Amino acid sequence: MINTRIKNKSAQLIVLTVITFMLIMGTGCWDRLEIDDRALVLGVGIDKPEHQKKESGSETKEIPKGGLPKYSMSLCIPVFTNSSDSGGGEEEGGGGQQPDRWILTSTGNTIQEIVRIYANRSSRMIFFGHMKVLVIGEQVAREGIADILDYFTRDVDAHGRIMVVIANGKAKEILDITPYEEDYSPDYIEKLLQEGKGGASKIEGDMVSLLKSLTSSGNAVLPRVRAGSKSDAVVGGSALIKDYKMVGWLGEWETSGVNTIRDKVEGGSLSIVAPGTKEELMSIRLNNVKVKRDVTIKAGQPIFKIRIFSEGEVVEKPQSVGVLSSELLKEIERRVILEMQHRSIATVTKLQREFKADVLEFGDLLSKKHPQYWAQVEKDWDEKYFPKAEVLVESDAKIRRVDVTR
Amino acid sequence: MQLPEQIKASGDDSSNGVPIDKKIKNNIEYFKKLNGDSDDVIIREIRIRGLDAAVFYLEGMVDSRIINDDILKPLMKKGRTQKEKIKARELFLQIVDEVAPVGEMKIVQDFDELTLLFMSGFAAIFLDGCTRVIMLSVQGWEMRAIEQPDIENVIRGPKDSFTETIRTNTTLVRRRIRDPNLRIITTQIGRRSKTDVVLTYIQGIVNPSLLDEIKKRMDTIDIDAIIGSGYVEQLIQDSWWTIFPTIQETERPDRVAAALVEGKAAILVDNTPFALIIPANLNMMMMSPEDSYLRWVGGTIARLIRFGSSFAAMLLPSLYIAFTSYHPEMIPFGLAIAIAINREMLVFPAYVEVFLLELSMELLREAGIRLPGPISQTIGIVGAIVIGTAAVEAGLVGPIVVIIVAFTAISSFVVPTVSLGIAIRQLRFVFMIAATVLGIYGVMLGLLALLGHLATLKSFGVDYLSPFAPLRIRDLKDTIIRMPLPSMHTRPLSLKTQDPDRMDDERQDDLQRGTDSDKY
Repeated sequence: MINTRIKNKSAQLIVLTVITFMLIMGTGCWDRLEIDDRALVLGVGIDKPEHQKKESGSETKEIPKGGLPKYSMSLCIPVFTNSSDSGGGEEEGGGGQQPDRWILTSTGNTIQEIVRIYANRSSRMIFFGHMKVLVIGEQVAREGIADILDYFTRDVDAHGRIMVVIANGKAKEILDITPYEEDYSPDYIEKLLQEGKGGASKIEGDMVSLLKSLTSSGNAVLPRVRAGSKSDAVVGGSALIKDYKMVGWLGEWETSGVNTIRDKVEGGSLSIVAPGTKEELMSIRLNNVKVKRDVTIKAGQPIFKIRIFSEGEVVEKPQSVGVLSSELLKEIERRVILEMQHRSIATVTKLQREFKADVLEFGDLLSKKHPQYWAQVEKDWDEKYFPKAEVLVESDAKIRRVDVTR
Repeated sequence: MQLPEQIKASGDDSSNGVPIDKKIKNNIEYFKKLNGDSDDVIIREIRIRGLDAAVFYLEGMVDSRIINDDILKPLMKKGRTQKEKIKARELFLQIVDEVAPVGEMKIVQDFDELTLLFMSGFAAIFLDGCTRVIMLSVQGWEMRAIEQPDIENVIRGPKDSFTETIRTNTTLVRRRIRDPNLRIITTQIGRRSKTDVVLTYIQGIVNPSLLDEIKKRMDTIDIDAIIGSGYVEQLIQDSWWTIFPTIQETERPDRVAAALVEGKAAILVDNTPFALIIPANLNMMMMSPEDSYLRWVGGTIARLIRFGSSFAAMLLPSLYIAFTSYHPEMIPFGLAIAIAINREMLVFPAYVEVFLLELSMELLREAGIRLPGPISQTIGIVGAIVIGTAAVEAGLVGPIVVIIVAFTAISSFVVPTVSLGIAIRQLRFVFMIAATVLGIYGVMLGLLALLGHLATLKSFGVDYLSPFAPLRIRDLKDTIIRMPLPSMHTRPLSLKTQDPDRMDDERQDDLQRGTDSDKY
């Protein structure tokens, strides 16, 4: 004990206070950094490097086989300087002037290597706390996303709400977009993903659900982003990840099938051939989709039962369809039922036959309902058992409203 | 001959002071020596039917109309109408019985007692050959009228406030509680000032051990002068080292009356328009009397605002420092960009900004109190323009900090008790330092320490955080939310009152009246 030598009671107290104070002080202060001394990274895009050209300042000394570094990473950082035209942020959001941003690209063999290069290129500290999207280029994704995600799960500032998306093309092209509606492209992409979240054809792409899915099976679906033009991007469809590697694309229709089976759909709209016509289409807006999933085991084979119940309203119909009578509505309901069944079954079939990848959380369901069985099949689930699993899809639908016309 | 009762009563226990001499000349001489050459001491000598007499009084402390019309005039008239000589004893009784039409009268036999009464505005009538002196209460001095409260104003509620005169103040309380059990006990404290300090409570409600504790502490006060109630507060409070007030001060008589019927005690001090309510806890300091006058929803909303804004007043600047310097990820993205953009033009780190502006705010506040009315407005405008606009343009502080400091300043005025508001202001700076050094971690540490400190505080045996800690669910009816009045039929449990019920249980039917109205 330190205090044994200090006889005086008040002296003891002082020493104790000083020690406590020093302990507390020692834990803070060092990471104080003003907000304007940080480079707020909004988006990160990761591609394969294109050119042989070695980046100036790169620390890469040994160029690996093939001559190119592994990654080319781009950051999107909003730029604000005390130049006269920024005017204290008064013009923010107004006027035609695009806010400045800085897209900087460096190459390296690991993410950390590239971040170190940025530290040499930027006068501010690279800060991932406000990161919104992580765009991974298709080429990189096909080689594997495990190492990239590892960096962002370890970084103290990166957080679980980061949207991870796969670019149909180059990731940098997505960051290069100068959107009309938002100031910065990552912000724009994030809002695209969030808007209509319960819709059928968009995948939740946040880091937390991605990691949950990956750690349980190694498979996942990630949203697909395609640069539309200089100023817009399209979100829709998804990239299929199997064993941390991208294996293929799912279209919007199949993605909505995945979403339906995973019970991630709240609404969305679908088009069906109008009853009484040959190929005229009518639109139904679904505003409530309930899915019940169950699994039973028969003769050593799992049988999955998916029951889909959808509620919706008629939003558009061709003129040739007359007044919506109850018979007509019955017929419409039947077609909705078929459509929901069709998209689910088609998706399951594609996943089973083409990709042999369970992204439908069937394994998860099985492990909860039949843990012993799951323990036996877990190893070969994707390759052996999932493709052979029987999936029954039941569907029901109800048209609640036909909407008032005025 | 039988003496009136008052004469006997005060005649026995006056053995310690300098006794009154039989000869009036000696008395006058002694009294003049006692008072030096003070000009306000008036000694009026008259001769009534061959007997020397004298009236002593302090000019300015007495109502001279009573002295002239009701004392001197009848005495002189007595001398005019009847010429034969009279014995001192006879005249004495005549004066007691017939002359002085004054309610409060005392008979004294020694100069100590006499001086005390004399100094508080009694007139003394000396008779030659008599060792007893008649003291007549003829106090009357220039006093401030009862005015509207300055700092504890309400919209709906009584608009009177305490004045500097103790008797007026006790009357204001008495008028609200016409109960013989309302006790008003006066003691003189202060070796030189002999200030009237009144302890008031309602017998039968107040916890007797609380009363004993207050009396015990008041007895220990040994000071030359009590200039204001703040002296008494500081001499009897539980701990001197906390920044929180453990006794509540108020200038509103209705607040005192409400506290008395709740089972608390109050101390009124002469020459101070602030009463002290004992015991106090944090919860009651967050209340305004207005809460009880409004309907309960309005009162509840007002309290929610008050509790919320007191946290804002305490924490907002420190949270700004912590968020911008340590945890920018906690700020929503759009706001973070906006802050970063305008911080870009500034030279100082965030904590310097905030300290600079907070200190100048304190400066303005302090200056505003001292400056005479019209100028203080000017200074306010100058301060607002200089600090709000010029300092921003000069790049000393950012506009967001101005907003935060302004909001904090407004919030701090919402706290209804001045001394608690001061404590919160002081804490704000503590939290700002904590945030500067340690970020949110520091703020949380500070909050924990604050909570621990508050939990250890007691005010005259009552926990400072009650009824939150220790939790008394029944008392929560009158805290952050204010339940309808009929539901508050008990006095606070923490006060351990003798009579716990405020209403008959039948009165609780009032609550149900709304639900089954067909009964009526």
